[in-house]
Amino acid sequence: MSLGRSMIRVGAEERVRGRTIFGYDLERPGDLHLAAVRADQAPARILAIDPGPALALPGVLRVFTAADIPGENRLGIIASTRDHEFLAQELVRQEGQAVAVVAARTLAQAQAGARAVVVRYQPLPGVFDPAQALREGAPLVHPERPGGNLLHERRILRGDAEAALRDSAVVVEATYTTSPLEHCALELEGGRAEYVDGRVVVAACTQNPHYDRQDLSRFLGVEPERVRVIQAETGGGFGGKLDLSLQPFLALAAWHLKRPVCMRYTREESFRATSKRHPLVMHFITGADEQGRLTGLQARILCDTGAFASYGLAVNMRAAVHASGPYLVPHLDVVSRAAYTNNPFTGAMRGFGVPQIALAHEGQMDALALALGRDPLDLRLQNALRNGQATGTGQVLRSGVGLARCLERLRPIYRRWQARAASGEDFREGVGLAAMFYGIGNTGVSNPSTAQLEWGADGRVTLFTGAAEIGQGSDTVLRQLAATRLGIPVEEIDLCRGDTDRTTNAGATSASRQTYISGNAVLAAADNLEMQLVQAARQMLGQHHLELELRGGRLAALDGRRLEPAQVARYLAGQGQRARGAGRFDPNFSGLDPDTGQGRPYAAYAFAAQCAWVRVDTDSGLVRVKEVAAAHDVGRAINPRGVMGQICGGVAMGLGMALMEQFRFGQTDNLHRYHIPTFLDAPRITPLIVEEAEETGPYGAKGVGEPALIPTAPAVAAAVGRAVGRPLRHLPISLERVMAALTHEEAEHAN
Amino acid sequence: MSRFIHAASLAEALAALAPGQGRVLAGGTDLMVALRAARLSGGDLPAELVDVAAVPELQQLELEGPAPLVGAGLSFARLAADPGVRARYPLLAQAAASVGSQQVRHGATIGGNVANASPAADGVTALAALGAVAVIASAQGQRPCPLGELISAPYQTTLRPQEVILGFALDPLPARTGQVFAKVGRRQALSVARLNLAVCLDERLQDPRLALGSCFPTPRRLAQVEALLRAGRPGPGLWQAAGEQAAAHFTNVCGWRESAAYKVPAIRRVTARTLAQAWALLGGGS
Repeated sequence: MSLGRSMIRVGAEERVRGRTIFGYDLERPGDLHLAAVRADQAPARILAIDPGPALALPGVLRVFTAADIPGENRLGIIASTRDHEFLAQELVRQEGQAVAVVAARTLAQAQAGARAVVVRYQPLPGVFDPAQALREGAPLVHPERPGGNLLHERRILRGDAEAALRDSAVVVEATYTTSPLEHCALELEGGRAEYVDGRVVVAACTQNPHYDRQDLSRFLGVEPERVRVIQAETGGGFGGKLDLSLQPFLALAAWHLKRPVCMRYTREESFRATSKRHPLVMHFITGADEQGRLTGLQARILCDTGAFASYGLAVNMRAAVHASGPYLVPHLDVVSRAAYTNNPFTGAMRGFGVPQIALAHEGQMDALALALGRDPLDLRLQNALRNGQATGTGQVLRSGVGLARCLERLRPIYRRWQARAASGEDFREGVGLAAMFYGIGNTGVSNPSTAQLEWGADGRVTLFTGAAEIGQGSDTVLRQLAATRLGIPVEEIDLCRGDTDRTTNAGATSASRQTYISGNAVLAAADNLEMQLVQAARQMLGQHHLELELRGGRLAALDGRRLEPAQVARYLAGQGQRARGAGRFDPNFSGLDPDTGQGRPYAAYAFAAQCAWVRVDTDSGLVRVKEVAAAHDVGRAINPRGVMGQICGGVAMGLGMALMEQFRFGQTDNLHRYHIPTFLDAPRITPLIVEEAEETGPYGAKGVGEPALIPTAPAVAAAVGRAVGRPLRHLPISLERVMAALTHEEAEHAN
Repeated sequence: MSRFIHAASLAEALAALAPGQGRVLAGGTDLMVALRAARLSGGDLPAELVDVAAVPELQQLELEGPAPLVGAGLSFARLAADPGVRARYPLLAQAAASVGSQQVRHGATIGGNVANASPAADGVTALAALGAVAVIASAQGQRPCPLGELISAPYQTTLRPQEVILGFALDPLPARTGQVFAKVGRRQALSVARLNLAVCLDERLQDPRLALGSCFPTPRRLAQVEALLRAGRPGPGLWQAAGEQAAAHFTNVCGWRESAAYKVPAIRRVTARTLAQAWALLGGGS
């Protein structure tokens, strides 16, 4: 039984020993190298691109521009908002947008060529603030677009929020803001493409190989069958490798030159060229009655989606859907809007807007607790969603609502830390708490996964999945699920993953969806495989009504007979067939009502609560996070060690969001200037696994990849707020913001 | 492409530098980053890199006696761990331990830190408090140069292309001093100082030393604050006053910039605290 047993992740040893070949490492001798020419200003009109000086340099073979794209130049995963011009056509909409790509014999020659291409621009007026972008007369980021700079608006309307707030005993109102962030995956973007028998084969790091194939075939103007995408080993993604990055350049060059090409981004280029986390401005008015029950919420949310849509629509939807937090809120009036600007485009990043919105709903809970004189944990527990209650979109949750259990797990730790938090002459400590819920899978749309399992004649089983392993552990978990269902040791399952020639679409590794959705697809494939084995066995034995089932890795008949599946596979092979089962799973959802946002956007939700204990140096404003305890309802921990790894990694990432991360174009484009936490900044982390089974999940499992991060920043913000005596509503909580809070307080005392 | 020259002795290094075409490479933790940026942007690379990491004359460490000297080629890891440095110049050991990360400290040298001349250089703030005078060598001989003259502006020195820093002569200090190096960064490692401070107090406050970095074009000693300390009576009142004075000096020199909203209270408080800590090391109460 491998379910619930901590497994060492598939590929862990190779990584530790430095043997893994990542997308970044795929270069082979003789490959041509690509380097992009990127706009140094925006917005601007391209007047002329002169490749001449580059082509005159040694080793430079070709300079590609938009004119060389045989197919569609506007790409994007969300079909209704495809707008990413991979090579700027006429307008440059953001600084760093690619304008041309140089192919040369060596990397240095390609880079020299990219510097030598002369591009003449005519500067255009731009807009860099999302609120200004939505004003009348603002410069249009996509002038041809009918909706102007408004990418998307999502309303969640339920009951009568205005009346509810009017009649509330307590109402709190505040504005919260967050900053654009970079994913900082350890592996930079890298890949390789070749032209083989009239097809383009692209191997690169990615979170979504099957989507990549679809958009690359549109880009090249060919049938999808003429593009093969292989997910290279991918060293982290966090949403930053969901959009296509360098794959279109690789495909374009291999297509035209019919030669193998490779490309890699530098850290600086990765900062400049890939998506960022949406910065949000969140204005919240929240009410409660005298007993502390939440009455209503009015929220106005504005997301800066930058120059391209990317996942902006998804982020905007999620922000709206999750605005009321994991609580029962009867009356809602939420409006979330995403606006185009000429800032670097923002897109998917671990949590799709929910880490941002959690800062607001949790800040409001603390403000209510203060106003009501209530304990923050008790107030959350009182309002926590329970099985049988409805979310803000009116979705009644039948099972899997584990928030109350998470809060109860935290309670003793939270109380202990509260009692131990000290203050001194030059420091103050605080303990903060935050909770969250997170819908598993894409919002209000079909997002199926498919998988196949094959029992070979040699007795080994192969799992075929399109699910991209990016370090989150799906290679391990999906094998555990298959092994459990088939009743064999996990070691007997081989994996074929992420190759569009050999696997089928599992959807993106995003939205914490692979355990739940692809896990269910794998179980469905196992069911299907069993059925086929049973049918074949009956044929083989000539007993067409024999009752057989797969048990302990063998086919067992009621009369006690046992049959090896490999025998059956050999029998099938003799008939030119294979013992191969296919499975598919699509979560049970319904689209959101276009006006009210009511509906069933997700089939399952994860819940979590974390508390943080911080020490604030009152002389310097420096915040040290001493401890974080993180209770996560994952439904069922398939691989507990993997769950704990996700939690610890999420907390560390959340700490960066809380305290130090802030992307500024051109100023923070390396890891020297863009600060993420180091090991020394990491607190002691106590991961606590809560298992409130989700009845539709594989063995009750949900997901944890993004939830791990979501409560951290609000918990740290609450702890710092408690320490300095003022709420911290803007991220990151920098030295300057802490000092401002402290000097404010000092001034108040002086008065 | 630059030519790489490995110098096994000072004579070899100076000979290689004599034509004036070379850049001195010590730990490379600043220089290599700059060279990579230059390469990526198509900028000029130095014709020659003269690697002085193995030059024995740069590895001297003489702490006892009338003329203490710290070799320019000593790594921060060495300075942070050396028992003599920790005993005689603990603020230098503390500053060394605060630089970069473990990996960076093994490569980076105190001489390179000075030659890079960052306004935030932890080593420079520490050396300033210790009255360091650089000993500079060229094929023509040696010359002393006070730190304040060596570093002329952010990332600029008066060092000539033919020269290499041999080491730093430090002021001999009284037998008992209270020394503290304080640093405020945005994270616990690999962080450029937002503020750094080196304090050295003697029992009678005859020769108090206070240097502040990351606040001025180059780290510097604050003579007015030191005068205030000499004239005052040790105790919380004096430390507070010194903090006020240090903050006032910052706004006088730099004007009221955007960063002052943070820097002014931080300088005030961190200065007062660091002085109190240094005094406490001498057995004085806070």
